[in-house]
Amino acid sequence: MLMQIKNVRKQFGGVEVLKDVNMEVHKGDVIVILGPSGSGKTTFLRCLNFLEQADGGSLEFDGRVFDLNRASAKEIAQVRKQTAFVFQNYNLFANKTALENVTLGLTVGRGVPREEAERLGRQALDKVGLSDRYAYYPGQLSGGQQQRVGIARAMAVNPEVILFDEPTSALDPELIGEVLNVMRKLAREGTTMIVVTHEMSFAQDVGTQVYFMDKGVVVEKGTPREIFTSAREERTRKFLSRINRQVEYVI
Amino acid sequence: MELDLEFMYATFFKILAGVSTTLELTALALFLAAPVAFYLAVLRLQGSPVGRGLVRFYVSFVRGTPIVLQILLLYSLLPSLLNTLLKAAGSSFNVFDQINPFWYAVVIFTLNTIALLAEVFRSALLSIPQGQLEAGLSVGLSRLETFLHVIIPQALVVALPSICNITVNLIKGTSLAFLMTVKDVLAIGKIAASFGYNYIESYLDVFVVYIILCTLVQFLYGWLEKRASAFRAARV
Repeated sequence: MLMQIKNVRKQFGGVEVLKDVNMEVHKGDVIVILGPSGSGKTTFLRCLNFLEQADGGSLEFDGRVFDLNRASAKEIAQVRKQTAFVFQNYNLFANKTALENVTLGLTVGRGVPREEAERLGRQALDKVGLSDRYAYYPGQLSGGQQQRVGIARAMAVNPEVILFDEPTSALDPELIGEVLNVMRKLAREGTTMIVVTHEMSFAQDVGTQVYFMDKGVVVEKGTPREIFTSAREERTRKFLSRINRQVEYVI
Repeated sequence: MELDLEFMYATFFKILAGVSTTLELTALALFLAAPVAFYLAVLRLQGSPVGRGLVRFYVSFVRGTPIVLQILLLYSLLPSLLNTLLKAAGSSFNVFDQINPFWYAVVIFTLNTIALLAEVFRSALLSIPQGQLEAGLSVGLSRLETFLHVIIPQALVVALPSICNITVNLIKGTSLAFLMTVKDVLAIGKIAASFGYNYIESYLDVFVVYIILCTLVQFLYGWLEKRASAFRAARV
């Protein structure tokens, strides 16, 4: 097992956003977290990368146990160096070109020599289909292109797991496809991913495990088939039917 | 009324000699103030309540009093304070003879600039989205590394116009150093005029010198801004 996450709790100003969330991640898993907004999905993901300090919980990662509430700066750095995060609104470094965005974590973060970092950076950008955009600044790229740079930046550091926080929800509908395709490709290559998303087709086709969260708890988990065709919980079925109806409206 | 052009011409070059004092004072104050101001800005944003309060108090103290008063007060206070301290330490160093008033001016303008720059840095840092820091941390950079490579370069672009403003104001403000007998551009002009009462000619010279100086500084900052904001200009 790659990651074992136990008893994650978090509250914001008295409101319990996460109540005892658990998750198991195996190598090569694509775990999709679904749920209505405000269910704690994003907070959970951010706690795993210490972008949010959990009130309690533990993360066993590659045989080492980290306290999500009290990890030392050194431990946090260790976890972050083995993980990568893809943000909802991309968060590309505005003063860096696409290539520099990808290489910064290698050169400064990990001491990789510049030439080697640039080779890896170009490789990553090629993979997401941006071989003609190395020298472009984020401001010169479309949302879809920016998010693909964001994914390249995450891939380039060769992490054990990539955390995706609603990677397509800030995108125009016609740009969502290009980002999902890149993520599909990553999944096929065996990249371990935890994905918070509202893209049901992605969850169904690519997910190995689907977690349905609501009001800070994991209501139900299972394979995509189990969740989408025979959900046990009423809340899950309601959520899925609501989402499916929305899709029909779009069509 | 007739202008003594010959006097004006000769005095102009005398006054130019004071430019180095004016610029040294400005540059020293800026460079000494910048790191402290940056620290105070970060303290004000992320420090303990006590730290924040102290920075706020300091800034409002400097902003809330005229600089002339700060000069008069500190120029009266600093030498005697220093003298008392040195005497108590058993030193025979004579503060009043051996310290060039230029250094008091440096101290006063630095203290003043710290407060102004701290506010500029604070607002510039506030303008950078939190996501930039999070992105830096998530790719394995430390806080400090993220500041150095990502946040400061972006904040600097935001801050440059205000820093230009402060610099130009400082150049003009250092003319008050004549209160401390520092011989800067204005002081030289005043002294040169006093021999033959050619005040108008002399002040016109000083006028021209300041205009040239401030214009050049603004050009310099314009150029810096263009360079530092290459990534923003590239926006489509």
